[in-house]
Amino acid sequence: MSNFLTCIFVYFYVVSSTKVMAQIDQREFFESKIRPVLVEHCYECHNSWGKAKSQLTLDSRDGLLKGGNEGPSIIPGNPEDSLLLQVIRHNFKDLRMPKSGPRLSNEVLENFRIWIANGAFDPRDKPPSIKQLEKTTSWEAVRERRKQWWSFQPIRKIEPPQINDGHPVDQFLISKMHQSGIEPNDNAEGLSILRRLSFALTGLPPTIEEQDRFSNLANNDLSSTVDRFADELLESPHFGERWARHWMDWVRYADSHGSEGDPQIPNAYRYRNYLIRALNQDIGFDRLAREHIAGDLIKEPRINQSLGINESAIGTAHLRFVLHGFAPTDALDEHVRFTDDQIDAVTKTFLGLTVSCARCHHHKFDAISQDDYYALFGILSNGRPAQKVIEDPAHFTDHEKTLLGLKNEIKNEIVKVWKKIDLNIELGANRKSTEKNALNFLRPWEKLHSLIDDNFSKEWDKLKKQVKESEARLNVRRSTVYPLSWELKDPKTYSKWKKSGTGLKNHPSKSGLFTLSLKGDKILEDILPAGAYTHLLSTKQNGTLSSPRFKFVEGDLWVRVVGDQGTTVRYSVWNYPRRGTVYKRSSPDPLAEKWINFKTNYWAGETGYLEVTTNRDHPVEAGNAERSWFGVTEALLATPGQGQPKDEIAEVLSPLFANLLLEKNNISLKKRYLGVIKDTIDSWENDSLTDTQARILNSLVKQGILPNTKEQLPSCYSLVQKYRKIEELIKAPRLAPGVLDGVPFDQALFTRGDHKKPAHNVPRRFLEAIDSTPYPDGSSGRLEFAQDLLRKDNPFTARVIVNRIWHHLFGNGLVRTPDNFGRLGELPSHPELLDFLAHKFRKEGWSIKRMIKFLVTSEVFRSSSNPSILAKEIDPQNLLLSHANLRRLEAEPIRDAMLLVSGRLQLDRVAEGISEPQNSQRRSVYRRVQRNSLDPFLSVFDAPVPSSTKGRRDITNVPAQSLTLMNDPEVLRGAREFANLHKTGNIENRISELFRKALGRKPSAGELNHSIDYLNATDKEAAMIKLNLSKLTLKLRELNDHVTKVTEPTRQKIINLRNVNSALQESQIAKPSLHWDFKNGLVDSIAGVKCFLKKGAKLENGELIVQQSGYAITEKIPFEVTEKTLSAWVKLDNLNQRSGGVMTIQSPNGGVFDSIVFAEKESRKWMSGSNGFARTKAFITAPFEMEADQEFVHLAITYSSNGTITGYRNGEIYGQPYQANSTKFLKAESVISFGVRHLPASPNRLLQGRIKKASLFDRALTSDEILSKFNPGLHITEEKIVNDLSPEQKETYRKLLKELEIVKKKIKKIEEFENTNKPDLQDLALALFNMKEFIYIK
Amino acid sequence: MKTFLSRRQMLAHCSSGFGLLALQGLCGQNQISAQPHFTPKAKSVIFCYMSGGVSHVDTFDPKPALQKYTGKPMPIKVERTQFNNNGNIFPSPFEFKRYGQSGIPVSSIFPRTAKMVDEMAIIRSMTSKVNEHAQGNYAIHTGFPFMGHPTAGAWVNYGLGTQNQNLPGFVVLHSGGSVAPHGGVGLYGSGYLPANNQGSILQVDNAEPIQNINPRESIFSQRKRLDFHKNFDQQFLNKVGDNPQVEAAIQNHEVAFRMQAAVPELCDLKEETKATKKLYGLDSADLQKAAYARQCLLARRLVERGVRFVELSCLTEKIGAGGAANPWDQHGALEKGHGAMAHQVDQPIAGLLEDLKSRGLLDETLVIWAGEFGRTPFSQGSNGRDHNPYGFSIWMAGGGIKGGTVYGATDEFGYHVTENKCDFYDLWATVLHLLGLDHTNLTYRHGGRDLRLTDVHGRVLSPILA
Repeated sequence: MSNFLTCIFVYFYVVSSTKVMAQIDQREFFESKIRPVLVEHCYECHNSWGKAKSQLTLDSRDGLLKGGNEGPSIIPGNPEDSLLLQVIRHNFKDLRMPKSGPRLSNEVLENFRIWIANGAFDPRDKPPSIKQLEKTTSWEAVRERRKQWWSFQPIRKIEPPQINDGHPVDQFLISKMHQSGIEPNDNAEGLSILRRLSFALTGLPPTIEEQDRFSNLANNDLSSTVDRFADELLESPHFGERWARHWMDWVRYADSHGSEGDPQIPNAYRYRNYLIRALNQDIGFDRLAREHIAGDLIKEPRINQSLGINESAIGTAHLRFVLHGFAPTDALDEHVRFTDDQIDAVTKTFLGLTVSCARCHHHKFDAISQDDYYALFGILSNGRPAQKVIEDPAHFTDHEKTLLGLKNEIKNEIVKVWKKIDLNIELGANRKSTEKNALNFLRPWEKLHSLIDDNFSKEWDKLKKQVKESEARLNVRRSTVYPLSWELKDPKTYSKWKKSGTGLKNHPSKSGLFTLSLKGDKILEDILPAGAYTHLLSTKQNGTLSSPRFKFVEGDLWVRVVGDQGTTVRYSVWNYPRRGTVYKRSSPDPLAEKWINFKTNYWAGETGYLEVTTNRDHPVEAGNAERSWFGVTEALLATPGQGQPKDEIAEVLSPLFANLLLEKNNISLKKRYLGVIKDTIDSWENDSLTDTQARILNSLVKQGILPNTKEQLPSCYSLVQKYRKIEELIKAPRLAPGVLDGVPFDQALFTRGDHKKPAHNVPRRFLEAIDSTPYPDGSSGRLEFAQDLLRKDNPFTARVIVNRIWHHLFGNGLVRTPDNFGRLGELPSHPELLDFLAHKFRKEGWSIKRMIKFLVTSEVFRSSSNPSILAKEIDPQNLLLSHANLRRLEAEPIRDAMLLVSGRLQLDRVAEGISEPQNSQRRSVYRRVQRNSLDPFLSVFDAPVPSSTKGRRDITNVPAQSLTLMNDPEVLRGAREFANLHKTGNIENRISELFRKALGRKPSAGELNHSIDYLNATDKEAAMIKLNLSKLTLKLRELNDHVTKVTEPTRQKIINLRNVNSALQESQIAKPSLHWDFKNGLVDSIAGVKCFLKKGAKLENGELIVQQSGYAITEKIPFEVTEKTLSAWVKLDNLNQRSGGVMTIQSPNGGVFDSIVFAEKESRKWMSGSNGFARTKAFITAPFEMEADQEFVHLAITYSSNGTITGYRNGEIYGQPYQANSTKFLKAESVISFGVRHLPASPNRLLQGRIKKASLFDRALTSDEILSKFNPGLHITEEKIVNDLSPEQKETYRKLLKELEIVKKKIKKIEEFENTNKPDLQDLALALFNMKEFIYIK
Repeated sequence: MKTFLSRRQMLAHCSSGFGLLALQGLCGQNQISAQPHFTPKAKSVIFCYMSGGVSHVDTFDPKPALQKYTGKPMPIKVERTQFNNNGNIFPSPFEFKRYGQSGIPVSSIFPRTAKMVDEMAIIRSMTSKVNEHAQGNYAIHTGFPFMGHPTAGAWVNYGLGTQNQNLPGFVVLHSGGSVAPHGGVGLYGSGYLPANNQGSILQVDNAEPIQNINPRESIFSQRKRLDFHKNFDQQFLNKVGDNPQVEAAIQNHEVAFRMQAAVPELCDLKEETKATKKLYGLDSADLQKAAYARQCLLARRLVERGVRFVELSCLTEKIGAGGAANPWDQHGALEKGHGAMAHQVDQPIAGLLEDLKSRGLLDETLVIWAGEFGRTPFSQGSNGRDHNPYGFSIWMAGGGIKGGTVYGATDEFGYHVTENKCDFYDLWATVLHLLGLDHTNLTYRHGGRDLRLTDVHGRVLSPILA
């Protein structure tokens, strides 16, 4: 190792020299260079008081000299034979010290060598006392020593060295290069710089226009050209797409949680779109970091006016990108795991520290204590999985005020009417209740009104007794001390429950609040007892209501709710959010309050909470119903034997039985009723209803005693209509993943990380190496933690992000382990430059764009990538950056570039939309990241597995990459489409365009010639193959004719015999809506729909022949089609052709279509084609087509109303059916075409072949119907015919057959491998994709 | 002092994965054969994975006591189960008989495998920390219950490399519609190890057994194009100063080209005799069994060709809760389900062991048979069993294993381990040991730690070693 490299590895202590020991003070050398290392790295395991592994003590001179089991540690004067030195140099595989740590720096090793060589002066006559030892090996002492590590030091304000008047970055770099005698490389070629810049900033290759413009400008002044293009590219909307993907690597972005079931992370995509917007708008990194930790808590959030959303609230979504197992029986274990996952991602991403290594013990190498881990655990574990509202809050207030006002008006109107009505009439004698539940206020009246005398008295007393018993039960319930009980109407209780969503307000709802009917003739929907409700204004408002944390005991959890069935009522154990076998959930009843019960024995001893969520708000199994609502009034946790709470009749009947009934008859009872009702209405008017009165009123409204219809309350109805109109305007709020804080608590440290061994509580706070002050009691600590990430004396955050930016621009970070700035990470190659940049970044508003601009305008960014001989020799890792790093493109830009150059990349809708399916033609950043089935193309090129922070992607070389580029159908398709874009013009220009688009440069003259030669050769070859093929085909035809001659007479005989039967059968089978038998011409035989021949298509011998450009098209069809079957008999000219359609139903411009297509997604296979592959998947396991060029085959595809698409070939199911959305073809707005996949009829959509018959059915035929359509009865097997041949004929037949086989084989071989009608530049296009220059940026 | 570092030294010096990879690239192979730590007993591993959780009390851990307590509640504490639908004690519906010289009892559902019992070491004291399929699958494959860590096959490949430059070193077999267990193809992933270590999925009965392995044109045309762009690539390589990464990528195209021929040759069974096919059960009328037999035969062909690690996949019989991803998961209809599953794998695996033995390959091939957990000795519902991670059985045979051994024991119900408790870390420590690798020294630095397949655990189970 050269001195130079040593220099690079050293950061703080500058190595002195390797000269003579005698010249320096031996004591000082020992004290400054040797003792600290022994204390730090050796004492813990090799001391005289506790551990002495291998019987070795290193805390005294004697111990060192005596050594342990392996013999003396040092031989003074003889470093090379000293075991200690060999061991710390890692000379032996199985004995390396310090154990499982990194090798000590070369400088330290050299110091030990010098020390031993000079006699190993050691003043330690005796070992330290136990106290001294404890002091030096205590955590505090260790931490303080470890804090000396470079990354813990403050960011220094450093001026760049003055080498020349160039860019500051270059000053730092060149100055260091000069120390090693290296010169920086010159500028790369202009277009290489452009390509580098374009990919670095937008992830896309430069267009031809950009190349021309760049070259022209750069001729004058390269530096200002780069400047100008950097500005342009930074302003491109595609900048955000490129850099958001880097960010997504840091926070392990995914659209699903993984594990069994792999459920979706609802709304995860909003986070991706948020990142893209934020980066495009250059929101400061400080702001974004804060939003990532506590965006939902920020006082002045970032409101996006044009989208009407609170951007800041989206930031915490990454906390939900955790992995979740399925129904774990140890819920705490799962909780610890996913919280650990959060700690890991947050600390690596923002601090470049591996805090999660301190779960079981203090960090092995860094100044991070186990307490630090649990301090962060306390901050994060409090956050309950949730969906958070991201709607701009301003949106709601206006409408809410109006609606509240209207409600008041309506109520006043209602009260006016109700007070005037004659209840005598309403409480008519023969009234029959419709309400069966316990809360029926009219039950006594129904039972008693027709009774007289004794009977009345008896029943009255009986009922009274029941009501008193019911009251008693209620009293017991209210006075029982349950392990837990909550009444949500109590403001104190209500405030302790956690709420989110727009429906739940700051205070509980009082008794008598009501909801209005949102459709129909009714005015009121419900009058409600006090509690927590989401729908008082609108069922579009949402809510999550969750109880304080509690400990489960054996018994039952009860919760009294009302709500729609899309609402989820559940308990969560240790924040586990998924449903599963032992994680029960339930739904309320929309018509009545209901007590829901959960048995809790299983979870006794664990901690959790109760939670009710409207439909879209469930943190994992969210639905998509915009309207959903619930109300909760009570909940309790009961031990066994504490009774089952239920709806009590006393809750409505008590007022009726409060006083004695003087005369026991129905007149007196009616009076009693009228009195109670009047009181109740009065109370409602005065806003002083009790819950009982609210239930009474609700019962009366529900049973039509009190007027509640349009007719009865006309003045109210118009108000209600007004209300409904405004209610419509209320938005079902948009949601994003996030967390809902419970009451803050301190987390107990788990001894050795064992979650079953809690020890002392650790206050929530920042890392003790920076500040160990606990966070305030009332705060979860997220806001404070966010603040601490950005505080001035925290040197990590700014360094880490500028290093990440550097990494993505130059291919390697200044610290090459961007996620780890700790002891196991690599040292910065240019610590001063790193600090200079970090300081600048912080000073200039944490602007990412500004930093990128600053860096790419340096000379080093422009330097060429070919290392000088000297650089190769003394700096093979290019730590000095004397030349640009050659970089392989990441997976996404490779795919995006292929799509782009083949003209298919959809670049619009930046930062919009949900995650895209695999066949999407949007940029890869929008692709769905489904953890259990990651995209194979992206994975093969090292797209990360989203399980932890990935600041630096792997760059692997595996054959699967080459196989993908050689054979992947999508790559081939890209090459084909790329070639198709360049079909006309001068060959040299065409080739040149291909080069420019794919490689960002023109081909040299030599390359051009080479390419032409190659294409000529492949052309010639193709021509030869074609010739050969046509000869063989001719031969085949002759042989076939010959066979026919032999067999035809016999076949005819058999057919004639069967014809009678078949005619019969045809009349019985399913009747099509349209049917063409081209024997009978071009008009369909059912509805008379005409068909027109286009571009040389013709009818011949009863067959529609579509060859070259020919195809056929019908007039508009006179009915609507949704469910359907397409059916046709077809014979192909050859099996190599791609993407032609046999029969298609489509809108007249081809914008929407369904089609029987040959060989589009996969060669030689049939599939159902559709617009943009909207309803297309491969019929998997379908066999290759081997016969359709020899004989007519019957193809049918059925599209059922439930979206099942099934293919049939010759009556049998073809591959596997699949599901897709169905589509509608409008009446008189759709046509059918033959021989073209869809209109307009461009060449790559045309079929080469012939069609005999075709039908359209207006439903999905069954497999039996298809079979009869294909009619195997009519299909005469060769076997049958051969059986009837004469022996002589048989002999001839066999001979012919053998010959046929041979010819067929030859043809098959050619056809299988040679695409004889590919566009002429396809081979070159594919070669370009396979060139290293395509995937490497030089 | 000025030392010249050769490119090879320089690459070896690089601490990141790239160095190693590029070096492999330089060697003109997709993977070099690395040096084991000490003399290996086995060269390859065949992992017969029984996804879904095989009941040990119905297969390799007979519990006569269950008969005695039939229908009675468990007399000892019942731990939390995944379905919390616990019934009473449910004795095995199958009979056990003693086999071989060792006389080890095996259930009647494995008549053929049982005959090979003298080759096998049965571990009856395996435990897992997790009680759920996906996590259990990850735990046994990677040592950790979630995705993100390298799977055992990847570690083995990383530690040893393949001996065949035209085939991947770690292959996962599928047939007849078998799918990856719960957790997905991440179970075969390389985690933070370089991607060339990940499992290549081989659909043994598919026209295109490995994704994109079939050329879409004649080899002739493909070769021509390869040569055409190779020329450009060489120029590019010169321009970028002979960058080893680019050089490796150029070589990869050649490897890929050759793989296109090697894989079909591998999957073509025409050179296998009728007798061999019959031995495995490829001729079986039971299509599931025939499909599994095909995997077993392919496994032999793969280890013959120097592939290091082969994992096999069961097919679902659609009984109980056993779906495609968890075929052994009989929460209901255990007797029927386990009967059918055993029938599917019994002859093929026995055939594999016999075939390996007769070819002298068994000595250098380690066969592992295991699922992610066992099943409860009490019933779930009336006739199923729930998951039991507290004690269950797996077995190993071949390379370096002391045949006819039983190791460890569970209590009289087969519920908890009572003797020689071990876990997946011990399993892999032992497997790596047999392959000549010290599990504590097979490490990879990632995220600030030197990570291992055995985390900070694992001990070699020496009593089962020959």
